[in-house]
Order: sequence, then C-alpha cells, then structure tokens
Amino acid sequence: MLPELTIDRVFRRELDSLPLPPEGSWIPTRAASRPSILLTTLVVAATVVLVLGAATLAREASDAAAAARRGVSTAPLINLPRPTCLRGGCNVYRNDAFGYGIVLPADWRVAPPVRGRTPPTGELERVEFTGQTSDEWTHLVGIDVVVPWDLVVEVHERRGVLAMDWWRVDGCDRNSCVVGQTTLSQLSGYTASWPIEPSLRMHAYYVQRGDRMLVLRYATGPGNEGPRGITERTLQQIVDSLTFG
Amino acid sequence: MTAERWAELYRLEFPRLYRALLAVLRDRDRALDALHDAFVAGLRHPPAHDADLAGWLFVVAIRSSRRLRRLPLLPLEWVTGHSGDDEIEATLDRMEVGRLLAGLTERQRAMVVAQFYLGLDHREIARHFGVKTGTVSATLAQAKARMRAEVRNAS
Repeated sequence: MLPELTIDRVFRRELDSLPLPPEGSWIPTRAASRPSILLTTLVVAATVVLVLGAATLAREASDAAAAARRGVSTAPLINLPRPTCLRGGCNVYRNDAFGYGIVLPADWRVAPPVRGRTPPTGELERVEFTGQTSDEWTHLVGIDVVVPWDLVVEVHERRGVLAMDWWRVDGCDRNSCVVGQTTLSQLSGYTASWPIEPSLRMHAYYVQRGDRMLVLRYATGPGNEGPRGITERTLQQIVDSLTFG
Repeated sequence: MTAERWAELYRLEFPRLYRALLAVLRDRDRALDALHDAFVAGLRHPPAHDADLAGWLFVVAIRSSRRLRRLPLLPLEWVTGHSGDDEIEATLDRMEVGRLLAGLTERQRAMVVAQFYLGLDHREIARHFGVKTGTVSATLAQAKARMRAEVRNAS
C-alpha cells in the first residue's frame, strides 16, 4: 500500500517545481492567443473566400436595390448603407434596444420565443427569424433544438471575451471548426462553421460592439435547399444586410 | 459572478491548475490552451459556487484538451526548430511523480492528479467528471496498483 499522505506531499513538492508560462499569457487575450499555423491558414483562406463572396453579393445587392423600388413595406433603417431587399420585397427588422437592423426576405418573420427555454448567462436577447410557416415552425421547434434554415440573432454580454475567441464556447468543436474573418456593416468580425449532425452544419458570425457581442447563427441541411427555396446564399444575404444604427 | 471576479479567481488558481494539466497532458501548449478554454467557458457559464473552483476548471480544461488532441495541429518544432515539450517531458521523467504518472492512461492521470495534487475527494472527482463514485474508486485503485508496480520495478 502506498502511503497516501506521503504521495500528497511528493506530488505537491514535485509538481510545484514545474515552470509557469509568463503571467501575461495566463488569461486569453488577442495579444496572448497563439493561433496555430493551421488556424491561421484557415483564417486566410476563409478571408479570401469571404472577400470573393462579398464582391459577388455586392453586385447582387445592386440588382436587389432596383427591385426594392417596386415595393417597400417598412421604414428603412437609419444609416442603412445598402437598402437591400431580398426576394422581391423589403422586410426590415429594426432593433432599437440593441441598435441593429437586418433585411429579411418578404415572406420571413420573427418566430415566437421558444417556451421553456432558459437563456444562458450573459444572453441579453435572442431573436429567431424564419421563412417557414407557423405550422411548420411549431412542428420543428423545441428547447435547445436548432431549426435548420432559420437565422438566430443573439446579443450577449461580452465579459471580456473577444469575437475571435467566441467560437470556443459556441459549440464549435476544435476537431472540425472552420474559423475565418469577415466584415459586417464595416465592423470586422469572425466566422465559424462546424457540423452539428451528419447532415446539418452550423454557421456563426461574431461581431463585437463595446461590451456586447452580436452573434448571428444559422444551420443548413440536410441538402442544399430548405423550405420555400431558402439556400445558404439567402441566409448569407440576410447576414450581409446587417446594419448598426 | 462578475467577469472581474471570475478573472481574479482564475488567476489565483492558475499556477496549480496549469501544473496539474502539465502532469496529465505533458504538453505546455495543450495545457495552456485547455486552461484558456476553461476560462472562457467559465465566463459564459460560470460554476454555481466559488467553492471547488479548481476542480471545475480542471475538468473543463481536461475535456477541452481531448478535443484539441484530435486536431491535426502542426508540430511546434516545424516552426521553431525545437520542441519545448521535449523539455517538459524530460523534466517530468526526472521526477518521481512524472515517472509514476507516465505509466497511466490520461484518464487515470487526471483522477490521480485531481486527488493527490488538487486535493479532491472521490465524491468531488465523481461530480466533476460526471461519473459514479464507484468508477472513481475503481479507476484510482487501478492507477495506484500500476504506480505500486512501477515503484517495485524501480527498486
């Protein structure tokens, strides 16, 4: 039998002699974080893809703006730089409490709050936008259930966490997480995407605003198209329309 | 718990948690990354009580390190020309404790370090690891048997 009191003492004496890293690196910060080469490569690659994607979307936004003139159903946002209207109509959601706005396809709406859901600590607001009918949505939704092809916008207390680190606690498993950088409404942000089920993939955008973090999240799959012709491009266009007022 | 309070408690616990993770993971980068993840996780979903904070951080970090291990990261020596973890491995191998732990599985090492270095009892280890107390007792018994065998072989 090993004498356990002695073991305790030996463990403390020996392990307490192991060197510590510099104190500045104890708490993760932008300066102290050490992204891997792989991660850096992914970030660079994702940035290239996003820049090319943004150029394409900008061209489409111009076309969509022309469509907007045919029928605007709600008041535009203050400082809306690109009054994009999607899929034949304008449907602008404006959140004065948290100072953002977003343009939705004409047939989209705000889903009702999920009954019984307990917001995690630090979540200030959560709005889910859906292009599904009321019946379809009610059938799909549940506590902690992700409804594919819906867009969720959350506002969180940032608590010192940077946008570049938010994916770590957002369910993005390091094993399969693809992280990148983006610009939303002239603010730089970070993106992450990861599989949540074999046939579903989560996509998230993180933008810092002062002591708050704006998180936009949607899941795609199964397949390349959701109900009523919603595609990933539809969702990216909605995200791209984000405006801070 | 405020972010400031959380950061303060984390800083207090950092030295022994980092060393505990080094003993289990034998890798400085994995230990630091895992602790960073635990810190961020605590900011979003802090533990209910300040008591036994070390155990909570330790287990969250261990879980995080398992995800990290599966990531095909480029070896540090490709960049720097040497691996700092060779040094840590060598330091641990010079230690009696390091040699004893080297013969254990990572799960056994985690529970042994939780008990003998962090001072958690079987019930606390079970709660943090999300297993039954009997599982902890069995894992620790196997670990101690291996360590005893190592001591016998060494002598």
